[in-house]
Amino acid sequence: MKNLNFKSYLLAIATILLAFSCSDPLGDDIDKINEDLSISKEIVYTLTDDDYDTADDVCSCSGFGNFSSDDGVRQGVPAVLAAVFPALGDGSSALVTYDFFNGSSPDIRGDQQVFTVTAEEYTELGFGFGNFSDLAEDVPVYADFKVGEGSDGDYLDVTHEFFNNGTTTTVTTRVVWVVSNNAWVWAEPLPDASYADFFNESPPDFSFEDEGEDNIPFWLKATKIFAVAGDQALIQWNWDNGPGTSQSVALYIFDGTNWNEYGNVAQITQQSLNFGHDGTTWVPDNTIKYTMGPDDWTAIAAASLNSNPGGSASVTQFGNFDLTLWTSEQIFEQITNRLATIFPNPEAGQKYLITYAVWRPGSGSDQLNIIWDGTSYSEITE
Amino acid sequence: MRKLLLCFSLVIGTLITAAQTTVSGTITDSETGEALIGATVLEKGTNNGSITDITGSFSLSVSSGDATLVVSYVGYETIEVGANSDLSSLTLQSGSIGLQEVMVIASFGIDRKTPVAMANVRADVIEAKIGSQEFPEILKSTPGVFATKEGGGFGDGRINIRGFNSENVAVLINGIPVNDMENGRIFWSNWAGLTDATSAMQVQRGLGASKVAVPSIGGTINIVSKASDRQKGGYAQVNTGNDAYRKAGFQVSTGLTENGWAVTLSASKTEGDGYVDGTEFLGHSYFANIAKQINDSHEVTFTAVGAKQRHGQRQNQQTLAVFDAAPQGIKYNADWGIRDGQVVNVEDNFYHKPQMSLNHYWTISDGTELSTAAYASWGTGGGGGTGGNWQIGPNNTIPKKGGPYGPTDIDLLVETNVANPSGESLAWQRASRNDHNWFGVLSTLNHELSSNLTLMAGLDLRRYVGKHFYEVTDLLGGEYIVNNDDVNNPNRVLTVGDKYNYNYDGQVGWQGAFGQVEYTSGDLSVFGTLSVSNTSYSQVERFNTVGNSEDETDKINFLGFQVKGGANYNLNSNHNVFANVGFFSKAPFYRNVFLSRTSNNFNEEAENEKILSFEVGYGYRESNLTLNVNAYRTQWKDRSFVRSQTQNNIQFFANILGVDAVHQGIEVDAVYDVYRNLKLTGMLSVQDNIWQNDIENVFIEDEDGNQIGSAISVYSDALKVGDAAQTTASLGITYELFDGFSLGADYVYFNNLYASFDPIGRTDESDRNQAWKAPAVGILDVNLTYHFDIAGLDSSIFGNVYNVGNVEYVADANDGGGHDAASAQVFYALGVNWNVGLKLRF
Repeated sequence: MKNLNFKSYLLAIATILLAFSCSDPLGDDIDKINEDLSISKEIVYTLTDDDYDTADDVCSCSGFGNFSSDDGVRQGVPAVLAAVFPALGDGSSALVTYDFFNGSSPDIRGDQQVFTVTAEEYTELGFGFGNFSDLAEDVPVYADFKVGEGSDGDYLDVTHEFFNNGTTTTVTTRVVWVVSNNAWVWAEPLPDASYADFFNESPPDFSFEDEGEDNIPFWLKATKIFAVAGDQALIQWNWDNGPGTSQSVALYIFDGTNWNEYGNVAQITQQSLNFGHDGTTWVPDNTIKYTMGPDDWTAIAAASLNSNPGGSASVTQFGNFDLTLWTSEQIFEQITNRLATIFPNPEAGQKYLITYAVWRPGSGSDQLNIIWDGTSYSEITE
Repeated sequence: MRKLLLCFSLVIGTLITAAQTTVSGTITDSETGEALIGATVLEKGTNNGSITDITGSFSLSVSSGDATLVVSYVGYETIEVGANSDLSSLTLQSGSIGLQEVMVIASFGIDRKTPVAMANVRADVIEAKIGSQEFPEILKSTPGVFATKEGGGFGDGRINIRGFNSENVAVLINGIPVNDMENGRIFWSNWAGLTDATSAMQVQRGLGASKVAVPSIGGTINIVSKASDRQKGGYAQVNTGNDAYRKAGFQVSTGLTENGWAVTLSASKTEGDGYVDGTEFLGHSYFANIAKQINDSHEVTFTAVGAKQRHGQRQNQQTLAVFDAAPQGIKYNADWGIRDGQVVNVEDNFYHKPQMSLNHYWTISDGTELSTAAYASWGTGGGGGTGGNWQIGPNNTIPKKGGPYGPTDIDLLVETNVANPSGESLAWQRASRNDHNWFGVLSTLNHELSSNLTLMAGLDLRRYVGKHFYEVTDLLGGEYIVNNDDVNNPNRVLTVGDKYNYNYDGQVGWQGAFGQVEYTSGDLSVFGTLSVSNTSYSQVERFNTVGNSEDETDKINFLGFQVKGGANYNLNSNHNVFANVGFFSKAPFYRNVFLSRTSNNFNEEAENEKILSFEVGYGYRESNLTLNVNAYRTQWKDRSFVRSQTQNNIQFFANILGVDAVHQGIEVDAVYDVYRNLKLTGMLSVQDNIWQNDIENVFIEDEDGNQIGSAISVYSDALKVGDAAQTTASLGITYELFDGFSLGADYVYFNNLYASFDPIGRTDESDRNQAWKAPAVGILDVNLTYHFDIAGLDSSIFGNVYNVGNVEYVADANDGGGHDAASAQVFYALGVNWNVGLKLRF
């Protein structure tokens, strides 16, 4: 009987103890941490043909396989990122490259307006001599004044006094609205003589519209010998259109070696924009993410030698901020001074996310969200 | 008339003793006075015997009053007494030479006499349960104790008592203080050789009973090693356990020879892979004790103990999320790597610290004894780590093999070094070395002024030199490194073994004197102790003085003292009460005087920390129940806090006062013999440890008293002290199933563990959050002990399974910026692990 009591006593205690010891004390904490954790990655991505369709479903702006407005990019690209990288979350960043349509090539198929410049208009626009002397510069000024903004295909024929080489003559100059420049541009007509002299054409027109378009670059290269890369020329030429002669214009851009037609090289360009994930969605975000490395610690140790000798020594020793030796103000000061050196001349509004090692005691890392407002750095608090 | 009475009583007496009778008595240790529980009292020539109970008392029915009783107990000399003699206070003498004397030097407390809260851990319990554990863990069922394995490496454990870490816990080995002379810490891997050579261990909580000025604020851990056995013999032992644990060891004793010599030697080799990945270890431990009884007045013993070891470490904590994501789970360790298919323990610890002491015991006269210990230890070793730039992996991280949780890809570092055309290593391995020499003399005079009054006085002198430097240990495929740390030798080309980074000696001298008066009268004992010490610090620096390869500072002196007193009153044979109170002015640590490893600038105005402590206790002793209750309050004022600022090449210091903490609590522990073969032990400790005060807008001042630099503030008021669980409890059972075979279980529970943090780092006024509180945990260990005979040899098997429930829990955490579980950096404690040992005695 006594033995039975022993054993049941023991069994009872042992069971209770065993039960208590088979628990999972940290289970709840870990579950919560995993819930809150997001997959944060930095990616670089170029949109594929299918992606423009994905974007178009949301923004109706990329049906042609490219974006044509910044708004369109801001609306459409997040939809693409969410579709291609559905797992990435808060803290992720993406550098996205996409095709951007800079506007139609200029043409003269739209509205034509005809003006003659009056004496008052010369005066009002500041042309004291009652004439224009630089067709490329002056006539577009008149166009802005007279018409304002144009639209694709619009052109103006302006009759005015032209002072050139000591003589003043009355001429009619054509300016064309160029969508990609968002401006009126002088349409430079091919000199009549050039048709025969350069192009071996007689009468002074090309047989087909394309012939002009394709051959004018050679004439530009031969005649505009002082051009520099980036220079533009809007050229007008005549071509044989059945019973009559038509005129066409094309915009050419010099790349340093050759003149290229706008439509071939500049109409669709590749642009890139930085996006960041804010926990809910992707938004344009130019935050520079940077982790402090060995060179930074060396610089900070040197910079703080007098103001915080204990802290400076510990930075040299361990490559981290010992929080018992550094206050948050001191850390902010050192990091922003370092930013000014490694990212000089930032634009106003530039944001930084700086990760740096700390010693609490116990190793860890902290982050600082900083913004440069054009004058000073300040911490971004949520 | 008188003669007639005498005659009469003699006749009666003879008549009485002639018949069967019951005798009873009490058996205690001849030196400590402690009751010997479980001692055997046998009627000589028969099988008729009894054993002593929890108070050391026995009762035996003997055939006649003329019988002889044989009294024996493990570790003690057997005696024979007549059944009709005075049995009320029998004493047994320990079987070892010099053991009692050491216990006096060590200020071992005596039950119901020394007014200090204490717990004894017997050698046989250590033997049964230590397995693969270390000293700190064997104490986890003691009230007020919080012991963990930290990273999990061999010998990396730590112990806090009453919420104070090892800086404020004194460890004495054979009475000699062993806390590091520069930083007050204890490295348990140095003492791995002692686990097999301990004969007694006592934890005194609070100010403790030590007369010597030791940092006993949380408590004192008193370890007394085996002395030379009077009996010839020894043992051989083998152990095995989880993760390839293997240990083999032996001990031999010559016994007391005719010309008064006794030698005991033991040695063991321990190795294994470690539970945590990358914590492989190998240690060789040894112990020697040589005793010579010169004559009745003089005895000399020589003790040497040491453990030469190297072990891989888990140095860096990780977040809970990392452990959860890592395929290795709680065993994950980021601090090791692979090179040519072999494990490299990038963070490791290697040390050898032999400690030798020569003790002389001189019985000058009846009632006057002089005990002197002259000791020396030489430590060589340090910790391995990384040198140069290891962060050549993605995003400036250290490159890993096979995914982010794999081992460090040291092969890649080697490749990068080899590919460097200049031959210079870009990444290398180094060790931070902390060698030292330490010499001391501790001499205690024990003099009985009268039968009630004892005076003890003595001297405690120490000289310590710590040599600190980094050395290159492996160039990882490169040929050299170029270094500019020595101002007198720019662009030094270094190879393996050369020193860099810093190179200095910390020199500490210590002169202490102490005195204690003890008054005992009947049920009352009172003691008062005063100890005074002068600590002198000086530094020798070798890299940063232009034109001088070695620059030594003058000595800077700090005076400290301790005064304490207490009284114990035995109300009757069951109840006793005690109280103690003390004040301690503690000299600052070395690092608060010499703040830099690379400069000899010193802070001579460093302030002492001040501790005021008082405690009351109650004890209950009964035949099958022991109960202790005590309550204490310790006030810690002016924790070291030094800041500096350099102006015009002069470094100014501010010693900032006011970082205070109070540690207070109640402790209860009990041992209950339910039946003869079933014992229960229990413990409950409830602590309330809090930082007090904020410090606002203190400035460093220059020589004219002008404020320089920015304001210094600390916002730590009402923050609970981290690093140790403030509530602990335990329950233990031992059940002897049949003769020699017993099973045991120990359940330990802890709660209110706040993650570690330094209050000085709380500089944000709006942040008043408590540090992260880790969840409460209960852990069960089981033990099997079987004593039996193999071929006539007295043998034992010890089996231990620790953390039977395989609970995954955190006992070491550092608070993160968010003061929450997500930002905490932790070490997981070990899951289930086991150890089995076989011991053959001869």
